[in-house]
Amino acid sequence: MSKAVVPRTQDEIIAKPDSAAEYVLSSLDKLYNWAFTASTWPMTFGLACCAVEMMHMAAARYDQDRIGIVFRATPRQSDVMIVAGTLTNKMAPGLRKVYDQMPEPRWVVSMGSCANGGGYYHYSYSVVRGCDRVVPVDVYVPGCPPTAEALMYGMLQLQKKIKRNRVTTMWYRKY
Amino acid sequence: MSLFRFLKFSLRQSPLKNFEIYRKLDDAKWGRLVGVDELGNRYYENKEERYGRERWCVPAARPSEMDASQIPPRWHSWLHKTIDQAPLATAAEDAAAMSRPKWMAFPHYANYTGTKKANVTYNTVRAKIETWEPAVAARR
Repeated sequence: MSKAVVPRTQDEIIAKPDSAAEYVLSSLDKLYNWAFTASTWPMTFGLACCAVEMMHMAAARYDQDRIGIVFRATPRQSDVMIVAGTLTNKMAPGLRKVYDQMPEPRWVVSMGSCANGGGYYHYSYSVVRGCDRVVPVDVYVPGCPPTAEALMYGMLQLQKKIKRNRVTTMWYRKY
Repeated sequence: MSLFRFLKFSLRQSPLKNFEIYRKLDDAKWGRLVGVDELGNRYYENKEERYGRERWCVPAARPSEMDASQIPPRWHSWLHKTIDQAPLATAAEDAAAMSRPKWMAFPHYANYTGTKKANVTYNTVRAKIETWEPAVAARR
């Protein structure tokens, strides 16, 4: 009788490597992830009132700089895109273009009800029903608008997600 | 932080404890231990601190695993001065001392996002899209 194979989570693979090669590579992964979590530069995509809360996160009270988040006004040099606000049909191609201009690896944080699923404007003729119809989203921050605290928590969740990355281990598994 | 405050902090407690507090809070804090919750988080109070900073928590988790949702709801309301009386050690004691809603989990658990226990949504209503089984028509 064979034991049922329980797939290991990313955390477990990184924490408890199987072989010597995995041991080395998961350490490399940890270094890579550490470098990324220490500096996640968001591309600001402030579309509506959520952008004001996003600015609050940058301001003195919540002070995103202390966890290595610095707003970068160009997509070419940013890692994260915070979609803050209602994504309209007219803006959707622009959003996609900006996302495509970001270098890999890249992440997207959808902030607020409107970006998550259309929110208040779900039945409007001119609004995209959630920015996940245009770009792949990593973290959804609920709220209308979410507080700066909520967004900060979302960014910390994203950092946790980045820590689960395993680029070199996956490369090793492939070969 | 002023040098005076740092010196005061360094002399009050043992270096090991100071290191932990610095690592977890990025600040020099000292005060009275008010209580420990079921997850091992320690809660402190110092009335001499600046307004709004009198109550704080030293999480039990390692700095890389600290999460805001590790604080139980009762202790959260104590930290934010919604209630003045600190919660008691067990759920039964706590419920006897003050009105504790039954939905509050005991022991408290942190946010499951990113783990195997994470919430997965599912649909409970009739599907909005009608599907069909495509079939090849028989040759004549």
